[in-house]
Amino acid sequence: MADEQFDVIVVGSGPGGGIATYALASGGLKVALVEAGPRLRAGQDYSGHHWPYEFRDRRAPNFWRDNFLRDHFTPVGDRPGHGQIRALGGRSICWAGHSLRFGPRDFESWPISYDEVAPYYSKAERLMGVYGDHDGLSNMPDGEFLKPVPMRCPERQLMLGVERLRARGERMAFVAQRKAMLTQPPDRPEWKHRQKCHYCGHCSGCAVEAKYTSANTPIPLAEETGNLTVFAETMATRVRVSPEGGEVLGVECQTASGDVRELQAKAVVLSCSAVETARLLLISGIANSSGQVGRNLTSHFGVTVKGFFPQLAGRDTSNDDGTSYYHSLLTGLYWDEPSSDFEGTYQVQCGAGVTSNRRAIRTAPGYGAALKRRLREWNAGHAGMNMQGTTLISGGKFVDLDPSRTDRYGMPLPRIHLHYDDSDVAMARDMVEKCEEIIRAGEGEVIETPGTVGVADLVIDLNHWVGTTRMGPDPALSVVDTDGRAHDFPNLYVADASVFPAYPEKNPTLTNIALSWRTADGIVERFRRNELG
Amino acid sequence: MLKLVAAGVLPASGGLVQLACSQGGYRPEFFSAGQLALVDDLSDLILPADERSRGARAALVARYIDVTVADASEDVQLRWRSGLEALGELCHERFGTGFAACSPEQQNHILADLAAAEEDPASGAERFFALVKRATIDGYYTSEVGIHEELQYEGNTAVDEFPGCAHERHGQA
Repeated sequence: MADEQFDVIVVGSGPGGGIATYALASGGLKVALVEAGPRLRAGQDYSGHHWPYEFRDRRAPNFWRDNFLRDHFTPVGDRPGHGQIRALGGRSICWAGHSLRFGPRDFESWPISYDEVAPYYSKAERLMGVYGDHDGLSNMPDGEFLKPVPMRCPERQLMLGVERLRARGERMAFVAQRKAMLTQPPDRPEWKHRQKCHYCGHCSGCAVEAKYTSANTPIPLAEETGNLTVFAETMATRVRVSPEGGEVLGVECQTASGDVRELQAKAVVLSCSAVETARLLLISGIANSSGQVGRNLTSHFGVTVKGFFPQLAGRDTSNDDGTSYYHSLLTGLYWDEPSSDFEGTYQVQCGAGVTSNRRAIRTAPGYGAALKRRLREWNAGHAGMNMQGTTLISGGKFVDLDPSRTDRYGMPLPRIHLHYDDSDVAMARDMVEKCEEIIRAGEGEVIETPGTVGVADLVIDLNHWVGTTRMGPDPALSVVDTDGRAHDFPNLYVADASVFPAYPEKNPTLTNIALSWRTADGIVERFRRNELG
Repeated sequence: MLKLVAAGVLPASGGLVQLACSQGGYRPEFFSAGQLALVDDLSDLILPADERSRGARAALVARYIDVTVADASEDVQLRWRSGLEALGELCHERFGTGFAACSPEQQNHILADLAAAEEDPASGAERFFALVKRATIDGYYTSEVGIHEELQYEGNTAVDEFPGCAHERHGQA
């Protein structure tokens, strides 16, 4: 048990922890980064450049599927899932790269404004390298974009459908996706460990570091400052607090070989994900005077609708990979006029094409030559529409500790409670109706639809949980303040999506990175003013 | 170093076809020799050869099904055993003989009836049809024949720019 002293300990190396580490180390602070998993090398420890028939079970390697933890939480209710990767970089290694700014209207229900976060969005986009079109949308602002990646033909048919509905007065927009992938050579110093994208479609475990990850950008840059010590394969088991409870002293960890290690620091940053950050706080029994740790849990959920455009039945699909399936996005729904049937809104990620990640069409009626021809034509001419809606924040959705199950470190497992509300089902029904309408308006046929949606049809997004340590000005109603600092401790911070106090339909990671960078800059500033340590 | 080349597309020679027809030398891990031949026939009726590409038999789909069922849970294995039985019983009931011994017309009658019920399969044979069809599609479109010959998909190829839709008429009224 060796005591080691740092300025700041960051726990977790995913999108939030990675950027926080970089900002703190660049700010001159001595940083310890604690990560439960090992360091992996892209292209060596994982690569997607394989064919299914190279393998007995016809399953080509897939970073996400091959590495996410199993049986690491207890599900309660409507089939909650929880994605977790233990590796340096966390889920930034397998994320899809979708990088959408939250808009001014989204921040109206936050205690900070879009204008306060906007400079950090810009910094984040420049560091990450985010491609996209300048669309001029009111509530999904344009960023500092690299050259965009175009849609495939069936996605253009969906766009036609949207244009026709817009002409009839419907409010929506259809735009190219925005992703954190280099569409130009890595000619900036921050990108020296990366390469330009070659459009192979294996983005989930990008083997050439074209996609931004914590492991290929902020963590190596932080190490190059000389201020960072990485503790990989080291599990944080408890946040240690001074005997009188006034401040946080450090973190207790267990190494892979079972050794207990105490790290001490003047400040601690938790970046373990919405489920795991809440879990670590609950296990440590701290920062919960509000009773809100683990509450206000929300994620995205969805259903899928597919359409087929007969005029594209013979389309050339010989190299459709691109930046994997989704190249387009239906957005702008219910921004101006909220629905009277449900709260919040949704977006729809749209994709097409024969891609190597087995997302091609695999179901059609019949058998024989007719089935084979239909599968061929549907593969070439289909578009998939995957809803991403925000689950209503309610008493039926929260994280707590399982009283009877522990992990291999002896820590109680988290329980995730998910009970969909009527509003959630109503939102999914609206999405199905709208997507079917768009497909038909785009001169297509609906070939896959859940029909009338029920709770059993809803699929939770395993990787989009937020809200469990919500940010707010009032210590009675929130866990952290607007700087990401715990109300209960002057030197404990959260830098991940747990702090989101409200959740729009947009993907969380870019905002997680922007906010975590902002929080880390605040810590550097406090050190500079000698308010910490 | 990265392997960015499309793995070798099958040669156009018929070597594999002959091998598949005889299941030459292949020792099934789960099925009996007769069951393997039956699954081979069924798969090739579900996804046959046509003017564009070879079918499930040439893609050795039956072998794929054999090894995946061999690796699967007892539950799944039971579904295959009882499904094969149910199909056999149906054929005996209708035509007094097993599926393999039925004439092509009789086989087509059976499959057409089973396919007609695929939305909502009720009998053992109907559920078995869904099982064989699903496995056949999975096996075929993950095979070299299915990916490269039928879908004519190159993939795993490095390109400098992604072209996307370049057709002026697409997405336009």
